[in-house]
Formats: sequence, structure tokens, C-alpha cells
Amino acid sequence: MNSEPVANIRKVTELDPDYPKGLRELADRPPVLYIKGRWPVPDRCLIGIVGTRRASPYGLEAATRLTTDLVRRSMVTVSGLASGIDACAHRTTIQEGGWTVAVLGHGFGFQYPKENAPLFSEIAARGTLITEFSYETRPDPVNFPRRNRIISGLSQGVLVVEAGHRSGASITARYAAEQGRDVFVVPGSIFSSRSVGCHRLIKEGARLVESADEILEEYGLVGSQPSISVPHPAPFSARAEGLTTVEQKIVNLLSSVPLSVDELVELSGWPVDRLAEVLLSLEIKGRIQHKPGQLYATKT
Amino acid sequence: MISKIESACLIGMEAARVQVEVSLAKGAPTFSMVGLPDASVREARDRVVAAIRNTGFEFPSRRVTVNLAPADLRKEGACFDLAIAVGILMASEAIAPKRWPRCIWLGELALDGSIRPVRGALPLARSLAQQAGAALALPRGNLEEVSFVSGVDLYPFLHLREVVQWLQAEGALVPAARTVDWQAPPAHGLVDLAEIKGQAMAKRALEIAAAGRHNLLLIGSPGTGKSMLAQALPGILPAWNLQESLDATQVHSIAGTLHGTGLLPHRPYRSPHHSVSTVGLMGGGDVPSPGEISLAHRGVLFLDELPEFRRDALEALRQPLEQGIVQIHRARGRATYPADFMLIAAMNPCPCGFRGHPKKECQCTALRIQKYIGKISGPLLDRIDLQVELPALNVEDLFNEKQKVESSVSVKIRVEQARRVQEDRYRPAAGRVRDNAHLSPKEMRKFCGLTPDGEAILKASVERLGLSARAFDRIRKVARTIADLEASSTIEARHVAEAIQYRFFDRQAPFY
Repeated sequence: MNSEPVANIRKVTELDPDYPKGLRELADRPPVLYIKGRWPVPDRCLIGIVGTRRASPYGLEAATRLTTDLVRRSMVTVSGLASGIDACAHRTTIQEGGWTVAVLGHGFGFQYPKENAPLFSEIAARGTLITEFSYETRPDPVNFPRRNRIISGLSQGVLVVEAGHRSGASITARYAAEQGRDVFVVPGSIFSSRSVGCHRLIKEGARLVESADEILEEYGLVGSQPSISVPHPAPFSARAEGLTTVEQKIVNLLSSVPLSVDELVELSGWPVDRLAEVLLSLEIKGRIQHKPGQLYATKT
Repeated sequence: MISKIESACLIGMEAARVQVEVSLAKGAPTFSMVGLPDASVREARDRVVAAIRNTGFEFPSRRVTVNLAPADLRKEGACFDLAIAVGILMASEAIAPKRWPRCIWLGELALDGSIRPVRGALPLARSLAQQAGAALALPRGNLEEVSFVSGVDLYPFLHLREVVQWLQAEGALVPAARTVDWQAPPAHGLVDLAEIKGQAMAKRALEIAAAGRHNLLLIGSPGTGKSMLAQALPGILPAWNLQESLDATQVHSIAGTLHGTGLLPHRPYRSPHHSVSTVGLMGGGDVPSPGEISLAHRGVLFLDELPEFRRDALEALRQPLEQGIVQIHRARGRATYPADFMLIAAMNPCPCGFRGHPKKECQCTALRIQKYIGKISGPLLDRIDLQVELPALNVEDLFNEKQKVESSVSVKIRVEQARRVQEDRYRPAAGRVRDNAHLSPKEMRKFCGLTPDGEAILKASVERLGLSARAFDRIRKVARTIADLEASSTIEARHVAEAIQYRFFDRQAPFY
């Protein structure tokens, strides 16, 4: 258990005026909410972003990209602080300087999963942590599906990025549908077991999205200027930096489909030591990405 | 009547002279042995008695007392048999030697009187050769391994009878003729680099590791060729000289793994299984004996499935990796063995092995991956300069048969050239160091300065790629080696950039 004082925890009941409007509509709304961080949350422009805990590199990339674009258009993200897609959505939001809301499935006396402990304190400082469970409630698998109704209830819509068969993300999507919220789904590969849930949701009528714009359009936010100024790592402005001809040649060989160094050796006909050097320089210039498995792809 | 003969035994790698004194006295026939002999030395009684009788002599019916001096040194092994037998023959006046060379007697006796090879003859001979005028009477079976040690006269024997004849013959002593010249054996790798398709980056890392004697960690899915790459490493290491060959062989001599083959033909390549005990890896035991890391001295130690090794075994590797020796402390003795090896280790990227695999799905959660990687401690990783990830490739689709692949021989030429550059640079410094991997922090600041461009790219990598700053020293050393391979005296930005590519664990994306 946490030894942290209970003092900075706010208690909000449904009788209070600042009880979230989205939750008030629900039949099975939680009577009491415990809150840490920024409060109250806005009524509009909240988007739930959920997905599998065992995310693939594709899933993480999709989550990062969509979250970034949504946050830059001043959307507030809501998720469940699980590992995988959830953590990715929270972290990306914080990195972009946005507001993220995490709904926990246990009391504030615990931090679960352990690897998200740093994220936990960051959200407490710059975003909002919400739970319906009392301080000493342990993390228990039976409680996690229940908190999903709060994620969808708070949000105007829920974006599902990678969900396996019978996953928690599908449960959230189902709650969302029942509560009359929009369900957006990022499609995946037909070979990936992590996209089975997503594809079933699409078949059942969820909206397939490929970019943040499609979500923003739904809420009439398209074309609006990014409201949050995005702090870019200052010294290297990615696009502005010129590429040498050699670097340009390698960029031309790469696409968003990752290639291994061996394939690049084959395609470019260059020795690997030279290639290694060019790849690092491109990575520093922010033009390409290094991925698990010694693979490289362009950064979009 | 009394006789005194000299023998010797090993304490760690050092020879300790042992006086074998035999005294015959009147009284009921007994045979007692004093001077802290262990079980194997006490058994010498039965062997010596049988060997003397079977050589055609009478065993004296007297009170026989054998004293092994100094009395406080524990003696073990069968190497005193020959000295004891000769001492008894002398004391009982069964033989009347015409000549008496001052030599140290080594040898185990068989019951029929023939002389068996003993363990540790090479380190004994090398240690004794440091004293002037040393001579060694030893089993014929040990001659091969010892014959390249200069500064010591050798008298090899096959049988106790031969020893007696030699002592009773006349004329000057003629030590055994040596095998003429030592020649470096041809390069030998279990695998030639040309046999491995693809994995250009890992091959390049292997070359850099060999050139600077850096330790190397290969990270890749099953079937990416980690073991093959490791087996190719001995084939690209520089040809070894007599000194190195003797250094390596003497450890094997103590461990008794030579089987009369003379010097080791190639650099040792040891690949203990991950179930190896800490003692098996480090050496030790009740009476200390060398472990796998010492058997890999001057060669290669390959640890496959690194995270599966026992945690304490991996932790114990730290001292040898730093100092090139391993110290073993036991109740019954202390020993220091050499353990100057190149470490090459391999591991999967995650417990299931398919993280980053283009076709197969990884089933591991972030926590499991972190736990798996966490089994290798930071201090151990700090001693591994090169960490390379291997992509999973569909080799048949990718590479046609005609593709030109470099063979081990041509890589080895570059490696040797880079080693010469390093030796020339470090010789004036007169330190222990002869390669880039083992520079001290002070030497590194002196020899591994980067150009301003090199510093800039290092700084940019920290800012942009989240490179951890504690990798700096490693990167400098590796960049130094890359520059040496090009025979470039300065370390340019391109060398630094390449070196950063071989720091897998310092540039991990955050786990979700």
C-alpha cells in the first residue's frame, strides 16, 4: 500500500455539481468518485483511447500518431492506465503537453501495473486520475471491466487500437455503444491475433478510422488550429535540416514498411559500416525510425 | 640410510618445490608417509611398492619413512610417485648411480613400472624455468606440451627401468632434443564467415570486436545465426604467438584436458551450457581447479542464452572481465588462475524470442520482457562494449547464391592490421594494455579523443535518441577501434555514428 497521505484526494459524489455530466446519464453510474489531479474535467472533447496490453509495434505507432494529432487539436484523452496501448496514449498526451484522464480499476492505495508507476505520478501532476474504488481496494481482475464503463461514459467517443478476441478494449467499446457514444476502430492486419477484436467491431458497425481527422470531423473540429503549442525538441527541427545526397538516397529506399539493414545493404550496394553511419544520422535528423528487430522505416 | 630427491607441485599457477626424503631404518617392515599428503598421495605407497617389484627390484624389508617437505604444504596428486620410487631405490642402495643430475622429478607410476603423464607439467615447467639451471625429469607423455618452454632441461622417461639405466650409465647428460620451431597453426574457426548469409551488421560487429578485443552481445530471435556467428569468431582473431599458446595450454594442463596432445592447436573456444554451476564456470572446488573461464584464457568464451545463466555465475564474471584473472578462495587453499578471454554472449530479444519478428507474433508482455532483460545486471552489461540486434531474415528469398560474401581469412587480415596499430600506440605507454577494450579511464581520455564533429554527434544522440550517458566511454572505445580498422589516427564523426549503432541497450524505446 502507498504510504502517501490521503489528503490530496478529492471525493466527488453524484450530488455534487461538478460530477461529470457524461456519467450522470448512466444507469450504473458510480455514486462516488475519488480524484487526484486536475478537476473538473470538461464535458466535451474527451476521447477514450483503449487497446490491448500486448501491443504490437504497429499498434503503438498507430496509437502514438492518432493520439498526437487528437491532442494537438485540444482533445482530452481518457484511458485505463494499463500497459500497452493505454500507457502509450497517456504518455503521448503528456509528451504533447495535453490533458489525459486515467480511470483506475483499484483504489489510490495501490499502483498497478508496477511499471506504470512513473506514469501514475506524472498524470497525477499534469492530468487527472479517477477511481470509483476506495483507497484500500486492491487491484483485482474482476474490477477492471467495470471501470471501462467510466472510460466510455466520460468520453464522447472511444477509439479502439488493437483489441484481441474478448479483450478489455472490446468491453469498453460495447459499453460505449450501449451508452450511445461513438466507437472508432483502427484496422489491423488480418494475420494478427491482436486485430481480431477490432475487425469484429467494424463488422458490427463501428467506424473505421485511418486518421485523427476522421474523428475530429465527427466533432466539428476539423480545420481548427492546434490550440496547444507543441513543445518540439528545440535544437533540431526535423524537416528544416537538409539531407546530404547519400542520406536522400537511403530515405528514398525506405518506406513505412520496415526494412532490415541486410535488405538495405542489398538495395544500396553499400558496405554496412557506411550504412550504419548514414542511418544514425538520419535517425538524429528525425527522418527515420529504428524499430525492434534491427529494422528501419521512415518517420511520418 | 637416507636419500633426498626434489619434486614439485602447483599452488595455483606457481610451482612449489617439494623435498622428498626417504629414510630406511631397522624394525618391522612398514611404509609410512608424512608431510600432509592427501588421499591420492598416500595411495602412492601401493603404486610404488608394485612398480619397484615389477621392475625387478626388491622392496626393502625395513621401516620406510617418506617425508614430503615443507611439512605445512598440502600435497595432492600422483606426481610424486616417481620421486618416491627413485628415493627408495637410492636409500636401499639397490642402485648405485654413476651420475646424479640436480633435477626435479615428476611422474605417476603404473603398477608395472611404466610412467604416466601428470597434470600441470606445463605450468610447473614454465614456473621452474624462471630459475636458472632448472632440469626436469618427467613422463614421456608430458614432453610434447613442455617442449616449447625454454630455459629448462628435459629428461623424458617411459618406464622406471629406463630411469635406473639412465642413472647408472656413464657420460655427459644429454637433455631431450626440442621440436625445432614453433609455427603458428593456420586460422581455424568452427564456421567461416562466408557460410553465414546476411546479418551484415552483426558480422561487422564481430570484426570490430575481434579488432579491439571488445566483448560482444548478440540479440536475436531463434534461427538468426547467433551461434554460428560466435563460432566464426576464433577464425577471425589474430594468429596467436608461442607465448599466448603456452599461456592457454598451461591452464588445460592443470585441468588435465590435454591428453598428450602437446600445445593447444587453436585458440580455445568454450561454450558452457547455461545450466553450468558457478564453480564449473569460475573454477573452484574443494581443492581449487580452473573453470570454464580459465579454460577460455586467450580464447573465446561463448555464453548462449545469457539470461538463463545463474545470476550469481553472471555476477562473478565481473572481476575476470575487468582484470583478466580469477581468484578462488577455499578453506583448503587459495588459487589465482588466468582468465583473459573474449566474451561473446547471445540472447533472445524477449522470453518467447519473437519480439520484432516480421512474421511471428510476440506473446510477451512488457513486464515479462523487462524482467527477462533485467536478469543481466547493469554492471555486467557495462562490460560488454558491443550489443547488436540481429534481424530475423528470410534468407532464401533475400540472397541469391551469387552474392559475394567475405570469408574469414580476409576479415582476419584487417583485424590483425588493426591490432598492430593498437600495439604500436600502446607500447610506449608501457602499461599492461595492448588493446582498445581494456583501456583504463585515464588512458581512454588520452587516446580516445573525438573530433568536434564526433562530440557533436554524440551529444545529438543523447538529445534525440535518448542515448544514456553512461554509454559514452564504451562508444569512445568502440569508435577508436573502428578508426583503427581504417588506420585513421583521429576519431571522426562517422566512426562515432557507427559505434552508437552497436549500443542496443542504451537506445531502447520505452516499454508500454
